Parts: sequence; C-alpha cells; structure tokens
Amino acid sequence: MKSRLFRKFSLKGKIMLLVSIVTLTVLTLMTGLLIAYESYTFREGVRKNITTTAKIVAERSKSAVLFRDDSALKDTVNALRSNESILLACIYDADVNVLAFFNREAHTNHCPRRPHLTTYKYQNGLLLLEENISLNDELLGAVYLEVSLIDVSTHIQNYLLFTSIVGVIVFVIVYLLTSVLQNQISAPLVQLKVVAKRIAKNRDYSLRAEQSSRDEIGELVDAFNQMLQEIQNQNAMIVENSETLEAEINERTRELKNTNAELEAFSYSVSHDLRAPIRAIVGFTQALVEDCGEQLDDIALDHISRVTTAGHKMDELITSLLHLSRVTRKALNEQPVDLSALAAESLKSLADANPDRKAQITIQHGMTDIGDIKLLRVVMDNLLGNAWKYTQKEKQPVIEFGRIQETTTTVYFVRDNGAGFDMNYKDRLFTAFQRLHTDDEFEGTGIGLATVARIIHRHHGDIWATSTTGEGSTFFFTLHQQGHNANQNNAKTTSAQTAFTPSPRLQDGAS
Amino acid sequence: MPPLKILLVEDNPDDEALALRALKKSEIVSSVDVVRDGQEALDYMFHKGAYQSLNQTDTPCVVLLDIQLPKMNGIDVLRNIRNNEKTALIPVVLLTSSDEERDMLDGYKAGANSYINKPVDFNAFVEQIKMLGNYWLGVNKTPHIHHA
Repeated sequence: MKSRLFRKFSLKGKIMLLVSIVTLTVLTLMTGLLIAYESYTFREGVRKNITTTAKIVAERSKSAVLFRDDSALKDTVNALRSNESILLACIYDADVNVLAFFNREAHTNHCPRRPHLTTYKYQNGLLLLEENISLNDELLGAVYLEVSLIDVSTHIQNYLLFTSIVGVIVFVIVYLLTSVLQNQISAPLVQLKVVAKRIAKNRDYSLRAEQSSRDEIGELVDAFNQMLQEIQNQNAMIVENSETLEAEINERTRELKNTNAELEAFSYSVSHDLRAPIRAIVGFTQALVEDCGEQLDDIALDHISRVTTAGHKMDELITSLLHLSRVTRKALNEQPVDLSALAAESLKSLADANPDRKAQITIQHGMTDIGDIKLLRVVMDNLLGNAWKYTQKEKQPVIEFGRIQETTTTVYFVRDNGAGFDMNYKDRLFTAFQRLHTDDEFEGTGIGLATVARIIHRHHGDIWATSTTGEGSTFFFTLHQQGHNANQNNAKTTSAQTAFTPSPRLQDGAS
Repeated sequence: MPPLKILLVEDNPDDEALALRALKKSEIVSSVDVVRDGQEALDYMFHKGAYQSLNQTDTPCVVLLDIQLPKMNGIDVLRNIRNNEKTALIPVVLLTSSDEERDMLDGYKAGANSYINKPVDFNAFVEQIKMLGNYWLGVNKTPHIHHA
C-alpha cells in the first residue's frame, strides 16, 4: 500500500520524500541521543554538587554529632535551605537517631528510620543521597538528603525545545537545498521524458534529448538518442525499400496490364481478323464448286474438298484457342454448382447430336461443389465429350461420372471403356496442341484438355489421368485442394498423380 | 411497291461478295445497298455527303452491320442510328465474325436487334441469311414511319 503510494509520486516528489524521511530520522535520532546524554550529564552534575554539599555538611557536623550539639546541627541543617532543590535534610547519629532535620513545607516526606543507602539512588523524581559522618574510620552518624530533580526536567524540557527548533530549521534548510539540488538529477530525466512523450505523440524521430551530464542519466540520454538515430535510419530504409518495392510493383503491374491488354487485343483481333480470310477461302471454294463444278474433274474437286476441310479445321482451332485464352482471362464467379446436373446436360446434348449412338451412362447424383459454372461446364463438356468421342468404336460404350471422398479432398472422375491412351505420354495430355491420337482415328484440336487443366488449376485443383490402351481411361480432378500452390504447370499434374493412389475400386474400373 | 431495301455495312470485299451471294441464294426479294465504312454508313442513313440525294423512301428495312469497320466501328454507328429519331426504330442486325462476349454485350446495349456470328461454312451462312431475311423482311412488323 505504502509502496503503491510511493509509486504515484513524481521523481522530484520521490527525491524530496526520501530526503525528508532521512533528515527527519537523523534529526530525531540525534535529538534523542543528545537529550539522553544531556539528561545524564546534567543529573550527574546535580548529584556531584549535592554530594559535595553533603560532604561539607558531614564534615561540619562531625564535632556537633560527637558532642551532641543539637543547635549547631540545627544551624547546619537550616543552612541547606538556601539550596532550593534540597527538600529534606536529616542528620543521624551512629544509632540512626535523627539528630536534626529540615523539611520543606511542600515536601511531605520525613526522615526515614534508616535510609540504608550505600551512596545514592534516584526515586520518584528525587535524588536520595546519604553521606557518612566519620572520624578516623569510626562511624559517627550520617547525613541524608532528598533533592528535587525538577531542575533536571526543566533543563531537559528547555533543551528539547531548543533542539526541536534547531531541528526544524535544519529540516527547512535541507528541504530547500534539496528542492534546488534535486533538479540536477531529475531535470535531465524530466527532459528525457518530455522528449520521449513528444516522440510517441508526433512520431517525430528527428527529435533528440539534451545531453546535460556525464553520469548514468547522461549515458541513458546518449543511449536514447542513439536508439532514435537507429529508428530514424531504419525508418528511412523502410521508406526507401517500400518506395522501391512500390515502384517495382507499379512497374510490374503496368507491364502485366500491358501484356494483358496486348493479349486481349491479340485475341480480339484473332477473333475478328483471322476468321474473315478463312471464311473467304471456304466460301469461295464452295462458290467455285457451285458455279464451275461442271468444268472441274475429280482431282480438282478432291483438292477443293481438302481446302474446305482445312478451312473448317482452322476455324475450329481458332475457336478453341480463343476459348483457352478466355478461360485464363475471365474472372472467376464462384458459387455452388451441381456437377451431376452439368454432366447430365452435357451428355444429353452429345446424345442429341448423335441420336444413333447408344451408351451406358452412370452419373452419381448430388455432386455439388463451389466453382464457376460456365468454366465447370467447359470441363464437363470436354471430359464427357472425350469419353463420348473415344468410345465411339466400342460395341457397348460405358461412361461414368462419380466421386471418391478422400480424407482431405473430393476426387471427381470421368471413366470410359474407350480407346484409352498410352500412359508413356500422359505428361503431354494437358499441353495445348499435343494429341495422342491421329485425326484419322479421332478428330480433335488438342486444346480441349489444356483448357480443362487451366480451368481446374484456376479452381486450385489438380487433374490427372490413368489409362490402359484399348481398355479405357479415367480422368481425375479435384477442386479447391488444400495446400494447392496454384502452380499451373504439368509437373504439378504429374506429381499429383504419383501422390494419389487410386482406390481398388478405381483400379478395377480403369479397365 | 419498290423492292424492300437492305443496307449492308461491310468493309471486307470478300465478305461483301459472300453476303451478296448468300442474299441472292436465299431468294429474298430485295435490293441491297453496300457501304464500306462507319462514316459512309452514317452518311447513308442520314442522307449526308455522297448520299444527299437519297429520300425517305430509300430508308432500308434492315441494316446488316459489321462491327470491325474502318473510321468508326459498328457499335458507334449503331449508337448514332439509335440516337437519331428518324432512324431509331430501324432494325439493325450485327453481322460479325466476332464471338467475343464483350462485343455481344456492347452490341445489345447499343440497341442491336440481333447479333449474328458469321459461320465459316458458306451453306450455313446462306441458311442464316435466309432466316434473317424471312424474319426481318417477312415475319417482323415495324412501325410504318419511313415507308410511303
């Protein structure tokens, strides 16, 4: 409680309090000791005086006691009246009979029957003193005195008053001196505090505390200033770094924007300008056949047919490429998507386009996930379109879309019993323009799976495939895989494949 | 009654020839005027410059408008047509090779009545032109503000 109160004081207050307590303690102790000493020496002085008086009385009373001269003894005793502190005086003979005495009116004590004092004693504010009257070692009697010590206490009271006044004066002087001198200690600290507070408030690290002494406080101020310098340097460095960084980011952003704008302009012009010549090539070759078909022989017509086919193929390639580039550019609009429904729609449109084909189709119900519905539709269209395409030569095509719940992620799969592919080339599956089949076997642009992979990667998922040539293939993909680093290269796809062990059911189903 | 008039705005002569061929093959009875850039299209529509001599009866029943045009693109031409009271209600079909969603959105926002992606296959193109002609010159009814 006390120390908590002490903590509330300012530095100056603490120094003042400290000095005050020390001064008061010292003064009190000093005064006490002085008074004790003074009261002892003063009392001893009184005693010596009275002893001398008693000895004189004893000396003077010898003959009177010896000759029983009571009137002389009476005179001797009465002579003691002049000493006001002596309250009772008695002279005894050897048999302790009171020969003479005097007793002051105010004093009620009477001569004791036998004092039995060796020399003296203090009792009830009185000094009791006995002096033998003897002649040639023969005890004749005794002088007994009772002396008031009121002089001693008056003296001590005066002394106490005096020392107290001196003490107060000393204390005041010490207090005044301290309050002036404590500035030497507290002022630099207070100044340091003011500077520190101003810095904390204004965050102006260019301020410095004033160096005023070479003691520990001076060293503290030095250290404080050094710290400020260090902060200032670091701040400057941070600002410089962040400015550089910001400039760099701005530069990169600008470059990226330029690149994006160029890419966009490129795909826009591809979309517009590359199509027109193809349209002209295809259109006019058809016009050629229509207008001059009769003049052309079979070889010419075959050539023209190849030109038309190439034109169509070129158009298809441009469309796929534009699609791929849009998949990369378009912002994701993520929401819950019913993948089962998407798959059903996709397969329905495939079946509608090829009404003469029959396939055994299995879609697991209720597969929903978060994603961009337009892009996931592209994924389903491509994967199921591939399954549909590569089972076209099977007698009993089987296409299945389902999912496997792994511990941390859901793995979707599209499985077919179609032509399959050579696992040696699995790394090339998801690269644009890489085909594992010739156009004679199965038509295609080689862009579909690259587009699918890019969409999956944009959804922070992975895609991979397993296959046995002639027995079918299974494409696996995940969405929002934990710890996915959005690394859009094929190495990631490959590593994901080795990391994932298909369940026994799947290994069976892969054939 | 004079034959119904179609305005074709097309800068590419190949596309122009193919469009004319398709219109001819689709057996739509109409006369076709062709202009080759955006400014010329506006001059034609508002009877300015080289087209000052045109009168109200020359207003086309439908405009087939390409988006990629020299001087002023098709979207801006369309906005000008829509902003003028005399031409605001004329059906305009954007006929373009672009399948950019942005173009489609801009086109419809600017007031296009239809947006057609020109196919590479000529037969498919003829089919589309036939449908267009039948619809805009046959089925569809427009207020008779410009036909005498």
